[in-house]
Amino acid sequence: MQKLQGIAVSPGVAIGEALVMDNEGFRIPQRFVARDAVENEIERLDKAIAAASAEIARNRDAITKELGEKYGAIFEAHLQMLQDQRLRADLEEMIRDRHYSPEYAVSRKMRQYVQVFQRLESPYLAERANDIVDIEKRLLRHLLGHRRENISQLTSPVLVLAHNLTPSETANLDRRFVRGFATELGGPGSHTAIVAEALEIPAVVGAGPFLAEVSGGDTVIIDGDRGIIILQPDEETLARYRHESQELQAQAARLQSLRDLPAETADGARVYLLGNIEFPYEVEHCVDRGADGVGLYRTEFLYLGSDSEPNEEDHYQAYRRVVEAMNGKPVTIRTLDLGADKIPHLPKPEDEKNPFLGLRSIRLTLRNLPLFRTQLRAILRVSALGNVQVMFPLVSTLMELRQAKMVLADVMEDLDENDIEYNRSLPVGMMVEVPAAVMMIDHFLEEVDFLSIGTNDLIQYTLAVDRSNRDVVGLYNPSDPAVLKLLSIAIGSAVRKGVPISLCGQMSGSITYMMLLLGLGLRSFSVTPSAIPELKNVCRRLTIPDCESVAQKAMTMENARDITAYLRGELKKRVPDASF
Amino acid sequence: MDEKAEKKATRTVTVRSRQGLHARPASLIARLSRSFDAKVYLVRDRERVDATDVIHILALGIMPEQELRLEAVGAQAEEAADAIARLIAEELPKIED
Repeated sequence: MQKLQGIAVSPGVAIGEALVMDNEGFRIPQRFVARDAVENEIERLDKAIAAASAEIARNRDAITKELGEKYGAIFEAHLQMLQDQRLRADLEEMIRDRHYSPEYAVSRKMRQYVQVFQRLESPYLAERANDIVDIEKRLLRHLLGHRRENISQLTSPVLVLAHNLTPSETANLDRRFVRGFATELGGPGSHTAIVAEALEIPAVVGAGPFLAEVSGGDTVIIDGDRGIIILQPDEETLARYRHESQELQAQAARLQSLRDLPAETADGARVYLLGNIEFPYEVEHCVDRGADGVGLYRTEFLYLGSDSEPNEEDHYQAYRRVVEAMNGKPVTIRTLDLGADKIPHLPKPEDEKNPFLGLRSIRLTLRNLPLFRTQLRAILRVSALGNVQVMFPLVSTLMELRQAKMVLADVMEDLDENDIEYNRSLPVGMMVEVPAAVMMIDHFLEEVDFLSIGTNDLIQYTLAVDRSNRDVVGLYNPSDPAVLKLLSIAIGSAVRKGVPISLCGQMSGSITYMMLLLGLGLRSFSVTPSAIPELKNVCRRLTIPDCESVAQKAMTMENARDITAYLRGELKKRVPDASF
Repeated sequence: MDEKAEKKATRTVTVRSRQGLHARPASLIARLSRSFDAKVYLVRDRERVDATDVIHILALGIMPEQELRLEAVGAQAEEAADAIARLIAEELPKIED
């Protein structure tokens, strides 16, 4: 049994069979082969080596012809490496004596070489590790051949274990069979985290290297509450987790009984609990939980799931499904919130050394007007079908907001000319997620119909912390007093002006902050749908004046740890069964 | 063939390539080693690798100015040892990119 500590990003416990993915998104199959299959497997290895060699030789010849011998030389070196006799002998030994599958033997052996190379004194030689990785991938491609499977073709339930899942891999996966995620890299804001939340399955990210220790088919436990991954669990651990997951299901059923009760405080203040969604099917999660609407409909999946840019109809159909299912309740659609580096069909930006400070979100769409207009047209068209709002992400200056609104007005004119129906008074809002926007909030409030605070980015930009970086993730803390000051300014200003404001970062889904946020004047929480029942349960037991005094006290405190402890302590006094 | 009857040759060479024995030099050594009727080994400290095994040559991590021992066994042991010593000492530094 092996226990790994990672970062818990989506709650729950999953127990099941591992599906191990390599860096290219292909699954690495079973570790062992049957004794009588050994000869066949060795033959398969030799065929793969021969095919990979032939492919490299073709590359070498083509490149040499095109660019000269110097450039072809690297392929010559790869070819020679692949024909390394000791490598071949070692692989055969692993298959013959240890009954490893050729795929497993290749990844295992190559990983050993990579480690040897990385330890070499000369950085130039150490970089040869990349050549080994390249050869490994090529060999695996040939070994897997037509059996190479990506995760869109699953036939039984699995827990997906990967180095780092890319958005397109997660977007394409067959969600019917995925029961949990565990990755070596990634932090709380990573795509894996968002998708796991969307699927309402447990996920642990940033656990550090562990893939070498596990192979496809092993039993694995992913504990998304504690951020733990357990490989090859013993019987006792398995039994304990099975029991726990039954308990969790029972508790979820109890909370579900609150579904049809309104979200309001004990003293009668109406609180709005809305759902954050990424994929259209998640609207059902919102309906099931009795959500007051969709507070954040992320639209990035439309751009990531396929190789071509989504057309207006792709957008429209995805939005329509959600708007119709919400049946008159508000649906806030956020326009594209991605970096140029993440979108396959846009040219790669040249100077993107800091993607989070670079060409992304509203900056990107304002530079790619056809793409922006396509999305806005679809949003406007769907606004005729229900209660739709549009929201722009990452606005940092008034100019950006005005430009975006001009593009929207322009698209409206187009629709008018073509007699296409839409809601002329479509509410227009923006995300507050850059400290600059908070500082200028009074000006923004004059020009928007609503605001939504995105705490994930606001915290990151305020504290200058990349939360997928293990070395600094400890500095990322929603309780940081600097963050709370910004929240207090934003919420207070909006409330005074009578402009609706909600909070849609992960912070709003945590009951820890509920008293504080209610006390600061927030009444609208947009959260992952599975968090709605718990938040409703908590808010129905609180009163506003009480929350206000807790918030006041918290705002005088100096450090994040004390604030978190204080907020949890106060909540525990009022809601003794609250668990964090 | 009887082991004892095999010819043996050894040489000591200093690597002068600017980046040490990296992929391209290693692959040239491997290619040349294959062309003789002899088995050639590169030895450094206690590590001894087949001169036709590129990955293992790289894994030795030979840096510039380091000494390396060549051992050749077989009918063309002398010729192989000479040729590879010359390659390492004289030719490789010239082809450095």
